[in-house]
Amino acid sequence: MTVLEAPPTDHSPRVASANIEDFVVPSGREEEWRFAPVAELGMFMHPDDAAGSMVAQATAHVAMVDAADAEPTAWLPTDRTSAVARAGVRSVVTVRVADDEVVDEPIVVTLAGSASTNYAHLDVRVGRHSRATVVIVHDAGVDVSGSIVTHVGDGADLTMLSIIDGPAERVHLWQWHTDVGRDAHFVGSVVTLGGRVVRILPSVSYQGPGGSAELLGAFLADGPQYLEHRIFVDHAQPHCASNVVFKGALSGAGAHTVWIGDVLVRREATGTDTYEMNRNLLLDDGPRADSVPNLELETGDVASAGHASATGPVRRRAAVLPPVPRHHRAGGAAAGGARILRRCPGPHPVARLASTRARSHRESARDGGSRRRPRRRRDRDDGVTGFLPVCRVGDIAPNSAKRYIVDGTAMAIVRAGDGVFAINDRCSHADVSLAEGEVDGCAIECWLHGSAFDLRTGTPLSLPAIEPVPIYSVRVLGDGDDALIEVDPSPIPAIVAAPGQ
Amino acid sequence: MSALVITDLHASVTTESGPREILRGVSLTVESGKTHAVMGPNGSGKSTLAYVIAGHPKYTVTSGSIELDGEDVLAMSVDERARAGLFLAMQYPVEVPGVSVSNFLRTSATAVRGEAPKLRLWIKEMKEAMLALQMDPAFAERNVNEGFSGGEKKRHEILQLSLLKPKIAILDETDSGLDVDALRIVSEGVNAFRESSDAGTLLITHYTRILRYISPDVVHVFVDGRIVESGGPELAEVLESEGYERFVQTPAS
Ligand SMILES: Nc1ncnc2c1ncn2[C@@H]1O[C@H](COP(=O)(O)OP(=O)(O)O)[C@@H](O)[C@H]1O
Ligand code: FES
Ligand SMILES: [Mg+2]
Repeated sequence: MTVLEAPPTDHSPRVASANIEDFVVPSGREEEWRFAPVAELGMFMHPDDAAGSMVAQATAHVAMVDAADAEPTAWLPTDRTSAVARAGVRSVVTVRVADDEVVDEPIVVTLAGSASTNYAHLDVRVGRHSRATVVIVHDAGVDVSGSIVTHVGDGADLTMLSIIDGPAERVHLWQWHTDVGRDAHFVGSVVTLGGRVVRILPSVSYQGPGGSAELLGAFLADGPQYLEHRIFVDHAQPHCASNVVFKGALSGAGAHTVWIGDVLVRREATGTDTYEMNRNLLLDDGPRADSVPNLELETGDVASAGHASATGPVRRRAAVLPPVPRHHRAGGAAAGGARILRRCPGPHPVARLASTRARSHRESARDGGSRRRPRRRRDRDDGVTGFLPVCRVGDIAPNSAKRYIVDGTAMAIVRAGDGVFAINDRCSHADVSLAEGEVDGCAIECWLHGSAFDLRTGTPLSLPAIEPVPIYSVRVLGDGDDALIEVDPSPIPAIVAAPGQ
Repeated sequence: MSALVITDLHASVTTESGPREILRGVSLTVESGKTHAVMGPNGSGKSTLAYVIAGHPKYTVTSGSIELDGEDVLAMSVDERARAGLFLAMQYPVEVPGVSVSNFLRTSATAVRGEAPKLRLWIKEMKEAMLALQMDPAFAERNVNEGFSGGEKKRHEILQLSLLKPKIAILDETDSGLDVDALRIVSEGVNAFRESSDAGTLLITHYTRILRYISPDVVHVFVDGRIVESGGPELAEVLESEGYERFVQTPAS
């Protein structure tokens, strides 16, 4: 058994093991099983010799391999049902794309059960610098528990689509783990329409810097369908990106959807760019939607981080939750390497209705399929007002600056003499962090080409920069090093001045 | 004829647990007209070498020297380095909100050339350079790196290269994250720059793939903060078939 190295997020798996006995039979009280109708999943809790294995037609890229001869995977099941399935599955569906191979046509894997209850294991590996699209069409006529283990080679570009369509009668339990290689790009989409009880656990981890992953989902639940999507993105490599967008619609009594979005940005994952969103539309009064985004940051040195969740009835404006203040960089050098951690608990499942502008332009920024990295920026107009705590005065050395992300914006918090200032961290001349520059009187000098910016106005005082840098209101509560620095993340309107003054 | 001469360079970074040495004695000479490929595994210090040459304040040079045509680069400000003819294309370029590509490039050209290029001539110059890189003219009006795809970011860097005409260009993983088509266009841009300018190029890369398009004169294997082996283009082929394992196993100091 591997006890996963700590600390996982509230909901993320705690144990990874191929041994069934390492997992207790869930009672429904466990965090990860608390929404699921575990009483209906009994057939997958204990090994069953009568269970079949899911099979697929062999093609140029797809093969069936006897489980005993299959290549080992580094991945291990993280719950009871997938451990039972992994131990019991007799044949493995493999999908292979060679290094540098570009496959233009989608590789379609149509799964078929061989009994009424089935185990499944899919092993998908695409080589470095390859490009492919893999579509998995599930068999809605049988019960299945299984896993999809995907490996995206360095620099590869893989798009996958998983479709569960058909009658709402059967049980579908899937773990879908993807390892994203260095500089690789992965898109994993799920479309969940059929199934009586569906529980899909997509997880992503990165094997090197520069990887990006998009997890996209669309689901429709009619009573009495239960559809759960439980996501875990584990950022442990620098300069990686993740974008998680799930949208659902529900109607009828007994329809129930659950969306759990866990994103963990570990300490070493500097430069991470992450965003997750779930939107649920209730078409009538019958259904229930639970939605729990959970973003945990162990480092403050991220490019961008955010989440949103909303559940609301049709024909009202989309309900958007007020943003949760995100994270701080805790403790400076003096804190002796104190853990940087700030939890951003998800909102209550029943989202509060708030009349704010719909954020449609954020989604319209998406352009499916291109190599554009997931990218999003917080709207400035979504009701953020007021000051947010950032750090203590003592966290910043006198006459120096430190970079913090405040409500999604990278800022240089600057101590200049007795004053404390907040200025956008990016030099207006080029892509350079102002916090790395030098504080000189009431100005901060960009290290790259030496433009100095007035900390009180954001105005450039010397070339080459000609545009001002946004500045923010600061207040300091208390005295001495313990005084709390708070910043209002809405920029103060630019003060225009002639360059070079 | 220019030369960037790096001699026994040691550099460290301050971490929470004290200073950590990343460059452990790098010696390397890049002459004009020559292309040197520096290849090494993740975390070996390749980006650090590029940053130290460009003058990033995060890194402290503890010993050794960097000279460009006999001038002490380490004594120059970052600004002076750019003016002296050093150019760094970063591995992870970030966005510059509110600054258009065209404004950005003209300002950089002003800083490097010492005077602002005449606007009319400048626009013509920029359009030609963009055409050569198969870039849409509308690109010039977009904000630097904002919403750019990986390929667009890299093409933007090569555009800078062709307009700023440095003596020595340092390209840090310009090939990473590019699909084959973008890689070809970017490589053609680099090749055009090399042919037109007699500059020296330090091509930092993790993959051998780009060397199919840009042929280096010298290949260096970079492991654990120093160059462990140098050779001709055939060395890249060894790396392609054998990986870095053989070099990583040399005992660390
Ligand atoms: N600011 C920093 N603080 C701590 N460690 C750093 C810093 N910058 C780089 N490093 C470390 O130095 C090593 C070399 O990094 P880098 O130059 O980015 O390597 P490469 O470009 O070869 O992948 C890595 O182990 C990295 O973690
Ligand atoms: S990047 Fe700041 S002055 Fe050039
Ligand atoms: Mg690097």
